[in-house]
Amino acid sequence: MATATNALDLENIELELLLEAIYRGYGYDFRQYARASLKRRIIDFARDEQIESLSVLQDKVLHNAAVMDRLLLAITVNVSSMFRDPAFFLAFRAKVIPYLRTYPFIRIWHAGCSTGEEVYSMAILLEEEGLADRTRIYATDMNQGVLQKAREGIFRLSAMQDYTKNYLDAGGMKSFSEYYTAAYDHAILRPALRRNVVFAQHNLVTDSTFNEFHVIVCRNVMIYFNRALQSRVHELLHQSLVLFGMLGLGNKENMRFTPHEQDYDAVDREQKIYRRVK
Amino acid sequence: MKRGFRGDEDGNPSKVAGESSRPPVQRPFLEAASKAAASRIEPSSRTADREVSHVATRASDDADSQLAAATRDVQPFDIVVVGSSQGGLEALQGLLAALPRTFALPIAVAQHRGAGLDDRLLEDALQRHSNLPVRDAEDKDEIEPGHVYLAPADYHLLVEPAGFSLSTGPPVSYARPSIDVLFESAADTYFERVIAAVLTGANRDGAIGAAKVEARGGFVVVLDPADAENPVMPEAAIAACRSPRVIPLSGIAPFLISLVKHAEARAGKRIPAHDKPPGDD
Repeated sequence: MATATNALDLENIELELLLEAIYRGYGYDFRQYARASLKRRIIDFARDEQIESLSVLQDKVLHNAAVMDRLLLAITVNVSSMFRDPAFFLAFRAKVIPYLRTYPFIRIWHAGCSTGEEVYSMAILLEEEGLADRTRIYATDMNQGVLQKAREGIFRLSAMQDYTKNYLDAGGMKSFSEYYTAAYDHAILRPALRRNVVFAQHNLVTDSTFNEFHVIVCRNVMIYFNRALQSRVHELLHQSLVLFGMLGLGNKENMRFTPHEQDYDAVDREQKIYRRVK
Repeated sequence: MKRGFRGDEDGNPSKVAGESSRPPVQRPFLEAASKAAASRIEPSSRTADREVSHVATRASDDADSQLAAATRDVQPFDIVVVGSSQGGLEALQGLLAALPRTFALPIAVAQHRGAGLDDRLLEDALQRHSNLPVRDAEDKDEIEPGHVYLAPADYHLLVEPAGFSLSTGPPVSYARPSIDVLFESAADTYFERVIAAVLTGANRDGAIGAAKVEARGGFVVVLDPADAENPVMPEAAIAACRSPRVIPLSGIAPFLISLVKHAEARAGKRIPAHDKPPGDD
């Protein structure tokens, strides 16, 4: 008689099959995501939706695009805040802005911009440094739903207290409240902040390069990928960066073991700002 | 993600909070598991140890019998995961100060901490008391024996077969880093080769994770609530586990040291988890 394997192995088989189904059914490729954290998010989703197993989830995903939409939101981590890691923005002002001033026109790519908190943070910083009108920010994400939120630029009013503190720690020069209007429990960011921002769908895993940039910001995006996929994405970022262009990663990410480790110098070792030198 | 050996979950999964949402699955893999074990463990040491049961004991019990019960027919351990919150700084300093430079396992710590401009503070405060190198884990760091890795402020720390990974996902049990996230990922990756230690804190983070470590065959040590700056966290872990070892702070490091030694001696040569087939992450 054939015997099933143990619960944990079974769950891992179901997970592999689900990821394959998502890829073949929808084109989203999570097969090379870091497995432990991906699995945790998918199992939490199944529990919230009261779906008893990953096999049943697979069935629902394949036959119901609405379930896929919800799963996509659950899988991709979309928790961010404005000026998250103020020290990064402080270092950016000190070490990247002077370099950008030497260019007549600047292109910045926020790869994996989620709901846009970091994009607006950068837009504010450029405004204060007087570079906003010679910069175009390309803000991309794989998920149309979060891009739509990013375009709206409306955040919870309750978050503004934290963001204000971050803004000041990040070297903000004004009063943070100048950048938004409060309406009920929301803060609506000044629409002028996005006059030089283009939001577009782009999937780092499956799409290729689309322009050459002076700065690429890709913070806490690749932490969800395994090393093989990280290497591929680093390839894409390297291709998309001008020589001497700057790459900003999350402050607990690093270039070690990536194929282009040798092609960058550290501009700020702590804040993970690198300059492409080859 | 497949491993050479895997323990039986050895008990009733419905008792375990982290497992309760899973459907019951038949486990006709006992035979396969003992076959796998036989290929790894000396036959002579196997038969005797298998009889030893896994019982809840208190610190007052005789240390040798505790250790015998503790090590069952264990394989050597691969990692120690530690969780703490309020009062954790002193507890961790005490624990690390008592571990020798030769301690052979990696130690991953989830200590609840705030995010600030200077996130070096915890690292420095612990390093001053530790013989082992202490640092914040970075994404995809390899997990090296004898190193102490801290979950960075504002990130969850997870154990993967190929190393650590980080997540900025929502707080779990109101915390980021969350102890449950660290413990559960360690249990999923290293199975019975995990020692989880719950220290002190004002909330229940870590209880579900500790129960999962135990359910996968790993070992749970809890700081005696009477000796904890805040007893809520250790009490929650004790309530969630079937047979946690409850020890005062001064006893935890010696216990870890002898537990690891004992397991190593019994199981012979250890096979590190990262010596695995390529492409296995």
